[in-house]
Amino acid sequence: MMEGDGSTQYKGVNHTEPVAAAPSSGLSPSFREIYEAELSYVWHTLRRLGVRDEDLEDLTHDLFVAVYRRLDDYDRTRAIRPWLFGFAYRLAADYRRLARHRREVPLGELEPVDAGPTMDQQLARAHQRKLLQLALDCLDLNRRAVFVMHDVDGCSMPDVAEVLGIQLATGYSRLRSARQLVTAAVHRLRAKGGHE
Amino acid sequence: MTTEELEPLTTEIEALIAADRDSSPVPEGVRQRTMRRVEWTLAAGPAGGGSDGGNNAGDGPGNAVPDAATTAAAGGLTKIISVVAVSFKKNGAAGAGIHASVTEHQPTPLAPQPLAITSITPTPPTLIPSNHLSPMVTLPSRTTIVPPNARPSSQPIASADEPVPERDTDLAAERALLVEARQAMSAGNSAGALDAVNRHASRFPAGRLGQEREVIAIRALVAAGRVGEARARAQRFKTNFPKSMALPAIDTLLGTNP
Repeated sequence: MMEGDGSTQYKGVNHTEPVAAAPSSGLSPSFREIYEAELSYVWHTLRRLGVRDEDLEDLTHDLFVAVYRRLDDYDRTRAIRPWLFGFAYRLAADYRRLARHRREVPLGELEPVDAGPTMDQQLARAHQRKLLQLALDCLDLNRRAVFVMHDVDGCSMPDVAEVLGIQLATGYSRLRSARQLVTAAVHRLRAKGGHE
Repeated sequence: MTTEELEPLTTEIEALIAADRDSSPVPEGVRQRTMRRVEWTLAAGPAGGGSDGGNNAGDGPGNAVPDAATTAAAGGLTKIISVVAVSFKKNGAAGAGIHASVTEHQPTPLAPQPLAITSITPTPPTLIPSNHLSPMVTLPSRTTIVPPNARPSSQPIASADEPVPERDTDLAAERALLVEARQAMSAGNSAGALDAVNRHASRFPAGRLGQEREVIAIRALVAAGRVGEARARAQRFKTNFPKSMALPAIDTLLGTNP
């Protein structure tokens, strides 16, 4: 199952389509639906924003608690993933403010990724994911968020700018430099690993 | 600059992104455990006094992102719940009821519990060893999620950059009473539990742990055989907390599940 394929369908809520109903009382069924459908998206978004694997469960918990409390604010005529990304971005920002969570990884100190001959495609994709993760670690959160939201999630730049609270031009500028930095990091990592 | 003016992603980077999009789904055990933790946290009521009434992002244009939503890391009891949940995880007791005591060097895993009223009752904080704290619980005692485009609010918003607030003595006092109530319940002393929750209600009529108190009270009334009173109290609870995550558990306890 691809968490990011956007194909998830569930009652009334879809990340690309408006939500039909807005339960307003009781244990909101839409919350559970959002949780079930978007847990993987939230999980991997937090990871892409630099949350360490061992902290993903805690941060995911925090995010859904916050989502539940703000569910009434969600505009059900809009896509849900950009809205969820806003939570993830703020959580990741708070998380990274703590010194022990900061991962400022100079390129020269990155460990090489062995992306060489793999036993099977699954292993190769695991290598690719690892490589991208290491490359993303070279970005500050602002660039990283734009890159993840635009190039990984496929959001439009106006949506990115709205969710992150930045000017459109700033978004494009960050995306351009993020792409350059990621590309450079990938090349550096591959070179250090001695593989294509 | 526009999208057209950007240099396109290289096929190499696109391939890496495609691989990352194809990441595995979250394991079922993690999915269930995380949902249970969310339920526990929400059943405990607003975290750190909450900030739901803070900013007004909902008034903004378009799909306003969440404003000032509090996290589970915010304040007192919620933090403790997280600690307990993590302790369960570390002790290999995923899915165990949070009501069970957690002690240092837990000798045996805790038995899994059905999602019932007991599963939303936090473990007494005094039983949590400090060396079981996860990195999460060393977050500032009040962490606030503020959307990047949230409008300014008249209410101050705490952030991780601000000094850690002083110990919340009211919350500590509230918690102590509920710990007493839970311990009485654990000892089969429903009268003692009711006494403790009544004292809580008297001292903290608008306390932050009001939902928690009511859930314990309903449990205690059922345990004491005062089912009619329990139902009446549950009805008031539903009126006062129509969105509480504890409602299904209360229905289960009273046998009123639809």
